[in-house]
Amino acid sequence: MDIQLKRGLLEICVLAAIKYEESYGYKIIKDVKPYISISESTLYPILKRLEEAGCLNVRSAEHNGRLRKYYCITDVGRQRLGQFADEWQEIMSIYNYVIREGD
Amino acid sequence: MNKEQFKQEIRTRLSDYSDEDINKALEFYDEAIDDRMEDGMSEDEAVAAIGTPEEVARQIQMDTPITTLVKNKVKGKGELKTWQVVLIILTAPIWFGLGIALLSIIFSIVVTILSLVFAFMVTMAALIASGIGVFCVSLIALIAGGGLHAVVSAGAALVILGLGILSIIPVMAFARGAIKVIKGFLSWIKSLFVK
Repeated sequence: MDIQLKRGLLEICVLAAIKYEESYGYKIIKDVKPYISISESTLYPILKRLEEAGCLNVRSAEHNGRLRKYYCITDVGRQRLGQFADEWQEIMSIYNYVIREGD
Repeated sequence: MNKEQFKQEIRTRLSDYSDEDINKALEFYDEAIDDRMEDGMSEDEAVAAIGTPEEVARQIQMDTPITTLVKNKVKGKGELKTWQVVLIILTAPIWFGLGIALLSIIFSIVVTILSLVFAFMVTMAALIASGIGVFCVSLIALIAGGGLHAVVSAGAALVILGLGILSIIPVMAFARGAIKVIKGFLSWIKSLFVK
């Protein structure tokens, strides 16, 4: 897949993974993996970018005697998901145009 | 490779970064490895699943703005030794000159592309403006009673104006292409600095 496109889609998938409840790194990877290939080394910069853009908040909580970071979506992050859904309509119509069959 | 070796490898590769940045990244990978082990993987498997230290370090570097990369490089980590400072000062005429030359080359390439865009836009604007101008002339000729003159210049005005308006599409496409080329060029320069 085109690298720019994949980068954008990964951000959206990560936001979608925390859409309903906060989550942590490994769980996000497990949740997203069926849809798009992702590993920790790609996830880390994405989480950092999303945090800097205000799309998610981070909090540390104890888990089994160690700290684990939990990521929680913000309103800005939700807006971003909404925007993606809108844009997708446009992309779908382009897709239909691209794959149309001759008469 | 166990967890400590993995983290040490990343540390060495990111030696230009601040301790804070490195620790933040390592904390993340620490947690990821622990979570995978909790999920039933062995330490080696968990480390292998994360990706190689090269990959991890490269992802972090590609995501750092070029200004920070250069700043990190210049600042280095910890104090410079006296002989390093002396060496840097002594070789200043060389690296300073080279640095300026490199920057000017980058700068001139960008400026050349941008001025091409500018030239096309000015040409387009000139065509449209002169089209309108010649059209005014034809109106004046009409009022003054020079019928043939008015028709000829009206025709010329329409041709010029048409050329100008037609050129909007390719000029805009060219401008967009030029911006893409500049962006690609700058990120290529950036990739040269990332090990």
